[in-house]
Amino acid sequence: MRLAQGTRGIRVAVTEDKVELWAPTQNAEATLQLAAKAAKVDPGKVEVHVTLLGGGFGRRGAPVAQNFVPQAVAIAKAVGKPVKLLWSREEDVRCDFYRPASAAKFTAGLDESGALLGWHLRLAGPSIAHTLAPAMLEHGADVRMGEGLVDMPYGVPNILIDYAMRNTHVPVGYWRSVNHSQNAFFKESFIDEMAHAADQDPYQFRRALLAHNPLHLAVLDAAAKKAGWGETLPPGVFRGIAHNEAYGTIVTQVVEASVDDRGAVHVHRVVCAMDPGHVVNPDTIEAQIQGAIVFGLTAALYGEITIKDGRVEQGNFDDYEMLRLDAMPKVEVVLVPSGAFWGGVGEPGLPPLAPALCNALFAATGQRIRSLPLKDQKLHTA
Amino acid sequence: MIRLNINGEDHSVDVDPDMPLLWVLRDTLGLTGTKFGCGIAQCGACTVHVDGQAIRACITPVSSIGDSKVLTIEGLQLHGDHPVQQAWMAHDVPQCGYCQPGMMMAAAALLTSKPHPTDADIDQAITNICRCGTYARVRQAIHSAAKA
Repeated sequence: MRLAQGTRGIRVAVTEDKVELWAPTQNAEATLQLAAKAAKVDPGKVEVHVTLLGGGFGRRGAPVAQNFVPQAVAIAKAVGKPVKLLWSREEDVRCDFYRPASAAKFTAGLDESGALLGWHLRLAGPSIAHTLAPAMLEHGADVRMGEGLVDMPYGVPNILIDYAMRNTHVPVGYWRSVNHSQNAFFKESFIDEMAHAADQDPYQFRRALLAHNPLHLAVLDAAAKKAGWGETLPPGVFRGIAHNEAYGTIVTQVVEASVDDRGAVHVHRVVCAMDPGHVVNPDTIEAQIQGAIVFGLTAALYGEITIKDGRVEQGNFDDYEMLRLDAMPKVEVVLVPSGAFWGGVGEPGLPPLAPALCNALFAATGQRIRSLPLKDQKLHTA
Repeated sequence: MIRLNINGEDHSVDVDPDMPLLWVLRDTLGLTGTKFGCGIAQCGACTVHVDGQAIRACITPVSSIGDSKVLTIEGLQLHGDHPVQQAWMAHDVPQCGYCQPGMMMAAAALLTSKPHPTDADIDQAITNICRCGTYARVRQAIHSAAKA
């Protein structure tokens, strides 16, 4: 769930020779086309004023997902007066395009020394492209479902990836870091399981798989060094690590977490190393990483939408919990720009958070977390 | 007619007594700095001061204000020189900005009651939701404002 702080709101004025909109849109061209179609006028007669978004996170971009635009135009036409449409929080939660609920089944083989021989990845879940942009499908397939897996940086001698598209009646859409958000959880949790099976340190296991890849190794090492990987932690606090590349940017995160007597998860510190190619404004990158960590942590801890009798059960912040200031971990950012091509900074900071946290929880409890959110898991200290 | 004192000025508004203060501020008086986020006092985007206390305007009926003095983000300091505003700029706190008026009003009320809050005080007082995740900087900015 995106739950942008501002619910969907839009102002529309329809007159005889003009359709004018004031819209918090991530894609004004699509807004204009949608309004023209809804008002049955030439696009040249539509004017869109882009307002501040009140948070986007992907919800206000794709044409199909901008369903509040034709709605507002239809209302304005019907009442014959300028209209300001504001969705309630409940409408916002229940009429969204959700992060695709996905599943993965992985099988791998290691040799006697613990080196990875082959990896079979099987994925199933709904396709965002199928919902929002069918033109993106290639021969009916959505290759983007394999984001971060088909192009993973690890040296895997033999790899096979299967994807079964399983679309449901629940519309899915872009959510911060898109398919990386679930794929990194699958991949990095499993890498940790392989390291455990090989009786190797999870950081060193990743190092070996990235030995051929100096750009990735530099980020992994920078995070481990800043985090003090291998150094003693306070009693009850454990570390987890995860590594991912998304949208041209390489990221490693090390999470320090503990589980209390009641099974509640506490995240104390997140170290994030990032190579976005080049750094223009390090302060903005730090802010984006802080934000991505809050977004990822909120989803990992609480993010759950359930459907009953064809309807979303959750409606507001009382039944869909948000991370608040009192649970904000200390975030330390290390930027290691390599001078390679420019990468993004808004989304790549999110995918490693959930697996790094769950790997820390495995270290803390011996329990392997294979589904999210964590609020549904019964955790106990080892 | 209901009489209100907002940001030091008297207003008379012809609205339903049950109308939440938030919508009187935004729709009747045009003070749009105060935001709607949830309507159930969960997120704090609508935080304003009533006699110096931070309250959630989305669940506060306008008729309950009486003679109390309401302060909104527009009245915090006209020229942006309130210590909270200064600290917010120094730390570049906002991202999308939507929750920030409420966040700043909550911070200002905290600093009035506790001029030098501890981290625990901040944890307890700042329960506002920020979906962009500016919490770390909110904390830093409150500590900076306390030193100003």
